[in-house]
Amino acid sequence: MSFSVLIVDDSETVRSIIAKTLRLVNISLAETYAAENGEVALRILQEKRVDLVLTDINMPVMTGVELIQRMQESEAMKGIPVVVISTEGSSTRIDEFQAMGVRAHLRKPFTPERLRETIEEVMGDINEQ
Amino acid sequence: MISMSSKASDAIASVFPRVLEEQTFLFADPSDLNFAAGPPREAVCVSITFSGANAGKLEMGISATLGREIARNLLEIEPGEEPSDSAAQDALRELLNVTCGNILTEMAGDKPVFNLSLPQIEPIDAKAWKKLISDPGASIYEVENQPVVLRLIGHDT
Repeated sequence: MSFSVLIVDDSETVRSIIAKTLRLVNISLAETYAAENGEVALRILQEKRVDLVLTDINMPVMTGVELIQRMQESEAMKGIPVVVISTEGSSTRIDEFQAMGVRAHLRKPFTPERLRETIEEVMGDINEQ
Repeated sequence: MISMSSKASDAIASVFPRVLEEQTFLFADPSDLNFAAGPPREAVCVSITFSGANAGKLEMGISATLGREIARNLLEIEPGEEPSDSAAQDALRELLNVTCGNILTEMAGDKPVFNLSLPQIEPIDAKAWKKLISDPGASIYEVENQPVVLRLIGHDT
């Protein structure tokens, strides 16, 4: 199965690392989009077909929490799986993410293998054909 | 609630070398005041504040040159190519962001909730560098033959 992913992080470095890591671990991707905050991410989600959102939380303009809330309010977006990739280590906060509909949380720093496992848990078969 | 002063050095020692290695494949060795005494060229201070169960600030004194090395490793830039200044600064902000999040969990456990600010970066002069490394709470490391200084300033809320 090939799918499109949206990477949301205010750090260009992190966006680049995640995109490279997705290619490194042979995940079958159709398109990779990137946004520096939740506001830009929402615009992309309105314009493009996105199958998975990988988002940071702590971002300027619009945080990851606001992005997730706005996605949940949208009939068109609320079914798109969201994985939070952040420095968050509080199980209390991670439980809150899950209550908001977040499918998985991956803590920074992460290994390529852990990223692949997390996406596989959420998306199922992700192998390149 | 946690006591910042008693746990900060241990938490930094446990977290910073691991985060640096996992993110950048560089190694941090504990060092001392003498090694860090001469301020590096293009010294900067990267800082991030936090609030929640405790409030405070984590600071990192480092050279912009080492920032470029870190960016080169993070972004897998080919030898001979130079990362931009903005990429180097971005890499340093991200390194401190990840370090801070992991230090807070190391110190407080996984129940308390913290809110982190967006990391800031600014150049510092020799006087500010000396003040930073002379702080009793400063933790000094050697990374690629260059000094890196971390200091956690916290107060219980």
